[in-house]
Parts: sequence; C-alpha cells; structure tokens
Amino acid sequence: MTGPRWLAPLAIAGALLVVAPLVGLLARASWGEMWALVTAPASLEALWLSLRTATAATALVVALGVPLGFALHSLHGRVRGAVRAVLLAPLVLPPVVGGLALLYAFGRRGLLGGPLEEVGVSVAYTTAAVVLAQAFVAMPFMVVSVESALATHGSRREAIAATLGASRTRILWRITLPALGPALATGAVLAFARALGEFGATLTFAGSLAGVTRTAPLEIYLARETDPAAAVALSIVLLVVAIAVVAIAYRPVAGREAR
Amino acid sequence: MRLEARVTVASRGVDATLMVDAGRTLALLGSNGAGKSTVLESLAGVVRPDRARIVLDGRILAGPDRRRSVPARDRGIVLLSQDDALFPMSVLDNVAFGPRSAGRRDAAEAARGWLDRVGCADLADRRPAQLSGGQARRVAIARALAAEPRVLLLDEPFAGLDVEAASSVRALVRELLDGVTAIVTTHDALDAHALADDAAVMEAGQVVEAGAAADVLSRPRSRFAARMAGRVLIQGTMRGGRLVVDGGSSIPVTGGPGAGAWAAIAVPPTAIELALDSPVSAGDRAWVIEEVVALEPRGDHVRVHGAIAAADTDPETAVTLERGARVWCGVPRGLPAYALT
Amino acid sequence: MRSVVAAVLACALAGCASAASSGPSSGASPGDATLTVFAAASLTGVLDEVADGFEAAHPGVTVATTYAGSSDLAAQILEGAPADVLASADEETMAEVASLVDGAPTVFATNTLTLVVPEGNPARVTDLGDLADPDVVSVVCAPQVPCGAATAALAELEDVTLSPSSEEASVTGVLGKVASGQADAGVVYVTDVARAAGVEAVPIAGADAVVNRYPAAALTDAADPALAAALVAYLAGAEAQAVLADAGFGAT
Repeated sequence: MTGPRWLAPLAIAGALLVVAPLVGLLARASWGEMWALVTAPASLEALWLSLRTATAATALVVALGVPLGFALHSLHGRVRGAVRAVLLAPLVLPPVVGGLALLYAFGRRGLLGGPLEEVGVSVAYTTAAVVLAQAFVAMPFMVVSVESALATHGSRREAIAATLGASRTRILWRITLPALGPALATGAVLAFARALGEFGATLTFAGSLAGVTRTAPLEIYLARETDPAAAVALSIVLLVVAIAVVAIAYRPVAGREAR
Repeated sequence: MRLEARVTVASRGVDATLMVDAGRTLALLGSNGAGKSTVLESLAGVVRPDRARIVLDGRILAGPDRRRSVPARDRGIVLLSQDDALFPMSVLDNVAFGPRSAGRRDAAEAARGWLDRVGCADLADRRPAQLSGGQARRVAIARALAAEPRVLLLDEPFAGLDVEAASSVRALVRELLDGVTAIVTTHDALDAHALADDAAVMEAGQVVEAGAAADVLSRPRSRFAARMAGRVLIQGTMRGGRLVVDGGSSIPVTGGPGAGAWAAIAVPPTAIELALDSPVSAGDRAWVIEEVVALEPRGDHVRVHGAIAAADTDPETAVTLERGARVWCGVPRGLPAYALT
Repeated sequence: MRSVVAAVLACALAGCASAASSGPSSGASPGDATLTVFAAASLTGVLDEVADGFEAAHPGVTVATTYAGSSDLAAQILEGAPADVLASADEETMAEVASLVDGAPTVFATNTLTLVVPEGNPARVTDLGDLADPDVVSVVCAPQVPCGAATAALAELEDVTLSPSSEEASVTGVLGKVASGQADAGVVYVTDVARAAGVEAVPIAGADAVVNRYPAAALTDAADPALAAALVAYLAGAEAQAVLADAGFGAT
C-alpha cells in the first residue's frame, strides 16, 4: 500500500533523524587507526567482557524467560495484563532507575544482597553483577517473544500429542519448543543485543572496573573523555553488531512449517 | 466392553449421549456446528466438559468429580483431527511419537510398519510441509493407529481433501477401521454408510437418533436425520396401503403399520420429480400438491423444499418459482413405509 | 493540543535550537544581555550564587549557567555550542579549547581531595592508606577523568596502592555508591562532600599536595566579549571569592 504523497517529506525527515546521527558517528571515525583502536588492550578487554557477560545474560534470560513466558501465557484477563506490565517494565524503565532498583535488591545493603553479604556472597562490583543487570533489562524481550508466540501458536498439536500418550514434559520439548523456535531465536538475539548495549543499570549497580565490570558501553563512556577516537571506534563496533542483530531478529521467516 | 458417554459442554450448547461397542465403528452425523467435534474432544480429554460420564471398558474416565477425570494421555483414546496437526519433525518421528511416548524401544520399526500400511513408506524422511494433503492425512492416520488406541476418534477424516485424495483415503480408512473401536464424525451419509456399523445423528448439540447405521440412514425418524441421511422424510397417516399427507394427497406404499398409524417413507430427493402444472397423467408416480417453502442452490441444480417433500430442478426453472408458489411433487409408488412413534 | 503539536513540529523543523539558547543577539533591547556560562559540575549551585552577585552589579544582564563534566563541556564547545564563558575544573580541559579562548584563562578557585564515607563511617576508614586494604570496598574516579587523575597522583605521592572496586567516570558516581552504602569509602573533592547528603568527609593528611585549579576564560565566540571578560574578572574578585570559600573552595 502506498500512502498519499505528503507522507514522503515526513518520512524523509524521520529517516534523517535516525540515519544522520549514525552517519555522523561514521564520519567522525578515524578509519586509518580503526583497527589499532579497536584492538587496543582497553578496547579488547571491554569487548571481550561485553561478549562474555552478554552471552551469560542471554543464557540466563533463555533459562528463566521462557518459563516466565509460559507462566504469563497461562494467566488470564486482567491478572495477565497486570503481571505483563510489571514484567515488561525494564523495557521502558530509564536504565538508571533499573540500576537503582537492582542496587536496592542485590546491593550490599539491598533486600537480597544484604542477607547474601552476611553469608559471604557479594554480588556488587563483580562480573556477576553485570550479568544480573543485563539479564534484568533483557528479560522482557524473551518473555514477550514467548508469550506472543504462544498466543498465536494455539494448542492443537499439544492436544493431539496428549491423546497419543505424551507427557507434558515430552510435549514441551518435542512439540511446543520446536514450534516456538523462531520466536525463541528472535527473543534471544534481541536479549543479547540489549545485554550488549546495557549501560545505565551496569554503571549504577555493578560499577566500572577494567576487565571486571567495565563493558564496552562503559569503556566508550569513559574513553569519550580522553580518547574520543577510541570511543568512536568502539561505538562503530557496537553499531555494526546492533544492525546485524536487528537484521537477524527481523529476518524474513522462510519455510516455516505450516501443516 | 464398550465406550459409553454423556458429555455436557454448556459454552458450546452440547449435551450428548452416545455409545460404541468394542470393535464397532460409530458414525456421528450432523451439520457443521452441531457439536460433533466438541463431543470427540471431550471423549479424548482435550476439552474439559462441564459435566461428563465417560466409561471405557468399565473404567471411569470422567465422572462427577472433575478433578479425578483421567488425563488425555492416559485414556487410550486417540483423536485424529481434521487439520492433521502433524508435528514439526520428520514423518517417521511423527508416526513413532505414540510408541515412543509409551516407552516402546521398537518405536521406529512400528512406525515404519504403519507407514507401510498407509502406503507412505517412502515418505519417512519428509517434513510435514513437504507432504500433499492426502499424504499428510495418511501420515496422521498412521500416527493415530501406531499409538494402538483403544478407541480411535476421526473428526471429518476426508474434509479438506481433493476428490481423488478423499476417495483413496476413504478406501484406506474403511480397510483400517475393520475391528477397531472408532467414532467417525461426518456430514456425509455416504461415508456413514460405507464406514460405520452404527450411526448417531446430532442436532444442536444433542444426539437425536441412534442405532444401527442401516436403520438410522434408511429409516430416519426426523426430518433432520433424514436430511443427514440424504433423504426427504415424507410423513403421514396410513390408510389402506397408502400414506396420506397434509393437504389430502396420498402415496401408495408397501408395508408399514396398520391404518391410522403415523408413518413415513424416506425418499432420495433425486427420485422425486417436480412439476409446475398439474400433471396430465399420474404415470408411475403419486403426485403431491406442494407449496414452495425454500429454494436451496446446490451447484448445478436447485433443491425445491416444500412443506411435505422436496425435489431437484434446474436453475432456469427455479428462477420462475418463489416462496408460496404451487408445485407438484411426483413421488415413486410402492416405497417401504415404517411407523413413527 | 493540535496547535501545540504543530508549533513543536514547526519549531523542530525550523531549527528552534538556536533560538532556545538565546544569546544577546536574540533581539532584546540594548543593555539586556544573556551571558551563557558553561561550568564544571563541581561548581553547581555555588556559581549561581556568584552569578547573582554579578547580575546585581550589571543590571540588565542575565547569567545562564550550564553544568556538566568539564570534558563534556569542552567537547560541546569544540562542536560549536554557543557559550560565552567556560569555567572548567582543571587546566588540562581548558587547554583542549585553547584555540577558542579569548586571552589567558584566569584561575579563580582551587579544590583538594578528601575521603568520603557513608554516614557513620561503618568501615572506620581514617586515611587514604585504608583504601589499599582489599576488605575495604572503595570507589574512585577513573584515571581518565580529572578527579581520577588527581586521586592517582595523590596516591602515588602518599605511596598508597589503591584497590578500587570500581573506577567511576564522574564524582557523582563515586558519591552515589558511597551514599548508598555500596562502597565503604571513596575519594572526591572537598566541595563535593559539602554538597552531598548521606556522606561524611574524612580529611586526607597531605591532600594539599595535589591541588586542582579551576580556570575560567572568555571564549572567542562570545556575543559580548567585554561582558564575558568582566565575568571572568568578577570570578577572581573578592565578592566571588568569599562565596567560593563558603562552599569549600580554596583560594588561588
């Protein structure tokens, strides 16, 4: 469907708004030094930490977010709406608010962090804190992916499988999860991207120490003070990852089994 | 040794009672929306009825205590749905699903055996999306039978297939259902005839008629059941070897109850002739004066429903008719009459 | 509602940004002028007070202050942000914008480092040396930012090997973690503690060895260079110095 012509200038303005900053970033890059900047020890350390934490956070999000999506789907009416609103809050919460919330839950004097500290388990300032912060902000992507996939999935095959004598566990593994595959992949990819880009909650909650908690976004934030070229170089790496991730997550779905 | 059930699903207006003896096939006839699928789903344990009493071989699968109803996976009642609902795995794995769920080690071999029996041995490695409609239906049938159900429920097993595929699947099902306790839903009297030992007619959520298939289909007791059986029910009072219908016309019949009894003949509409003017000579038919009640387009012809009978005509003739028009229906003489009580 | 949206849209398309950051050229009557001052975050509040005094001495002049990290401000000025005066927290940052500075910068205040602990000092931190203890959770500024550079310099002078749990990008980050009890101690500027809640200062013996100097300068792009220069001069004057001293800043 093609809209009226007057939409075109507005669309161009919208595209400019999105594309101009990205072009600005690319224009500021010192391409000759790009490789050296990205492979500088501080950059590599931050990228490697980001990769590890985002992967761990994604694993955590899959392990907990999928069951959460199922649980949400099993609720009804207003209760479901209310629970969904709470679970998806991290999606729209200002990151710093998320960081504060995490702080008051898992921090040294937090609701859970306090008692944990008593028994000698310290979360704050550890890489685990980064993973927690990332999983906190990335969880909604998985929950919402699973829930909406379940909503359109129906329960026909599951019902038939039950009459064939399959247990619920077998139905989950063999029928439901394979059918949710594309949605799970999309959820995981988006969760990974969100975890990779996490900044505010990490900064507020986990701190910033090279190799331990200083992920790529934090390194960019710090480097921009002293070494803008390095900040731009790292930013471009994350930009490329972001575009790739979105391209994967919203790829045209081909050959999905309909029957 | 039989399945006895009464299920009530208020939200779908279903309150049906039925019964199948071991090894027999029951055809559940009814138009779309009559509640046939709901009954099957309740029996299989896929839908939870509001009230139910389902007894299979003396074992109570569902009773007054809803919490104690036996879950679908433990009932031994397999549902074959109209949409096949094949699983996202290979054809072989689909068919082996039931045996594997039962923990059988020879599941793959059993599955191959069943694929062979439905003529799909060469499709074992295909994915569901790579099957034609007829192939998918055959695989679904193999999958259902491989689970070795005590009762097999087939919901419109030939729906959605093209003519050729439907007829070959029909032959397959007829062969495979031999000796299997099964319920087949259909709105096609021919299928009921061909497949079933017994038949039950559902109307608006209730079983209105049940019995041996030959009886129900050739001697329907209600206009609805007759329609399901593909016949027109002409009712009247017996008087000296004739059936006297409303309006005073009478039709010579054979057999039937004694004079004054309420009786009927079930006539295929194709056997009834339509005349727009008073027929000059009676011929071998008895003519009944009719008023047109409804015109039902049926592809290349139009069925003219009267207050008493019905007959088919061509569209050109049909356009000249309207509700309330006077027509004559020529009913064959000497059809067997039976009592309605 | 619709007209508001339309106005905002029109504004956005026509480039209201320049109108919003109105300089003296924005059509006010002669004598009325706005002086835009970019000031280091650590000057928040106190510089407003100084500005009030300047406004009183220069009727018709409005001083608009923007506070942010010095590096951010420098970066914004280099990117063409319309500022008349820059008051930075360190001389290095001022040097970065040297090409846009009108005349030599004037140092108008100094600041020294102090330990900051949560109220009650739960970990009983008494000196910078305690921050070498791995059991004391400490946070400092990252060496890349001015407060971190100063902290590192002081630690070296005091011969202390710091073992921070986190290196923050700003003083605010350090204060936040100390105030919330996430950290037992941090290192910030004396003036930062004066403005913060929920924390106490523990003086560092020898802190005077590392003094942070606050330079201010008029910028070449100032709409009214004379007025900008006047503000810079006022900062070094007795009135402003008294206000700064009250806030904990040291004399030059």
